[in-house]
Amino acid sequence: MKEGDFLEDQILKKYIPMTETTYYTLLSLNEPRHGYAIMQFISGLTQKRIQMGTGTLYTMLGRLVEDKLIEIVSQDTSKKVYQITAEGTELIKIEIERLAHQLKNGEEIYGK
Amino acid sequence: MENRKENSKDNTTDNRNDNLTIKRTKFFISIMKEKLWLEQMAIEGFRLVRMTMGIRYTFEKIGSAKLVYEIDRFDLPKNPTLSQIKSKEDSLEMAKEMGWEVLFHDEDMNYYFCKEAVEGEDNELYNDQDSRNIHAEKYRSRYLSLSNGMLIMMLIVDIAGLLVGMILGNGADDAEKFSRMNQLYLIFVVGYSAICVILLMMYNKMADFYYKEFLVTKDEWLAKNDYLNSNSKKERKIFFRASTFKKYLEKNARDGWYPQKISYTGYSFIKGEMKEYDYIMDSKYLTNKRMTAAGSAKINDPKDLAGAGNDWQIQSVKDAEALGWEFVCAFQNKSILYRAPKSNNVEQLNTGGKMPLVGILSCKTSIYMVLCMGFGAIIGFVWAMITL
Repeated sequence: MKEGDFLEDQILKKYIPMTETTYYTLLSLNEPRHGYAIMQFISGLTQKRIQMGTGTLYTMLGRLVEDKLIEIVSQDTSKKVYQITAEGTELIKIEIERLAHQLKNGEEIYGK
Repeated sequence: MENRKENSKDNTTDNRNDNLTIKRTKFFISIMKEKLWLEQMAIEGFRLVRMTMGIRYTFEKIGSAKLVYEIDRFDLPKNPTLSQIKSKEDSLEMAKEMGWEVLFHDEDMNYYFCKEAVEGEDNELYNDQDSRNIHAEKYRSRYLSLSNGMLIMMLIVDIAGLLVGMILGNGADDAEKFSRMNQLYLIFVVGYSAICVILLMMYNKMADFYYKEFLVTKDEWLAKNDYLNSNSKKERKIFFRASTFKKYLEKNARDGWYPQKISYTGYSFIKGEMKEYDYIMDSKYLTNKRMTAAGSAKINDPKDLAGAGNDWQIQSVKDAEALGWEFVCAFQNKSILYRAPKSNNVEQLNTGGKMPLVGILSCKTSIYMVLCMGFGAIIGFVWAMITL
């Protein structure tokens, strides 16, 4: 299974480079989580810098589900629980690698 | 906090104050202003419970609280996809999960949300630019499709009216052709069309208004609308004489107010330092006069059929800045307003030293208005002659 096996070119073009909110949403869904928990996880990870709002989360999760990067794994009364898919994992790994390169370039020129 | 009541009537006469609920009548066009007012009511100790007919608000008395409100709609587009059909329920669920309470919806299907304001957490439904863009676009397309609907309604009635009119008028003799019935009928068709056009223009304006309003965050909106500071003011004035206009601008400069935008009837100012300023205006005609006097060719673009060309402004700015005039604002593409501190003794841009009152009624507009009125007068005259 090589990289990009699951991912279409369209998805790659659309998501790489990734916005911060997309990146952190995908990170937060390595485990099953529902909306509010996603918001708290991202807030904690970024030391309250990124606060995912209702509309933001709603649009983001809708788009990621549509592109099959995340899926709904369970749904009780009103809370939907999401988790990253294999394609999503593929994508986030590509982005992490790209960010590593980006960081390396910056440090080469401007130092740490 | 000063509460601007531009679009509202505060009517507290029906104040059924049984210590539990109060009512207020207010009409809002701006959703941001409505939200800010509801927040202010919450600080004063009243929580929104109900709303009727879009203007009658019912509050319950609670302790002073910091609440935030959101107002949103969940219209479906013409041919909704599956996800769009599910979106309303999903959105409401997500909102509830994030702590928003759905209060109610009004007769226009606007849903009202309420939440406690938490420092550092999201206090808006749409708190990133991406979702704000989508939200703004949703409102804009709703109002644009309403305005298109008006256009179609008008077309249908007008064409039907024409056909009916032709049938009715067919075979009737001259006297009958202009009978009372037919006159009333004509008035109905014209009146109905006029109403449709007015509604159409109103919907277009609303589409643009809400789009601009939803595109920015609350803080950006407050800054832009200068809601809480008094660093800007707007005035409605009409000037017919250049000297009065010049004196008006100079007086404002002495008080520290500088023009930001000007129109036929209104002027908006921002606060600056108090200083003595000289003001001049420049126009295409005057720029060309300078050009010919200097021996250069006039700025005239033969391809510019509609007369909308803006090349003269580039030249005007060059000339003005070379002498030391500072650009203030431009009025459409008709004229530019410049200023310079009186103490600098800057040379006049145009000879004669007088500030021409250009652009207030441009040549083209005046001729157009006269032609229309003349045309209308001729039709009315002919009509009266025939019906007598």
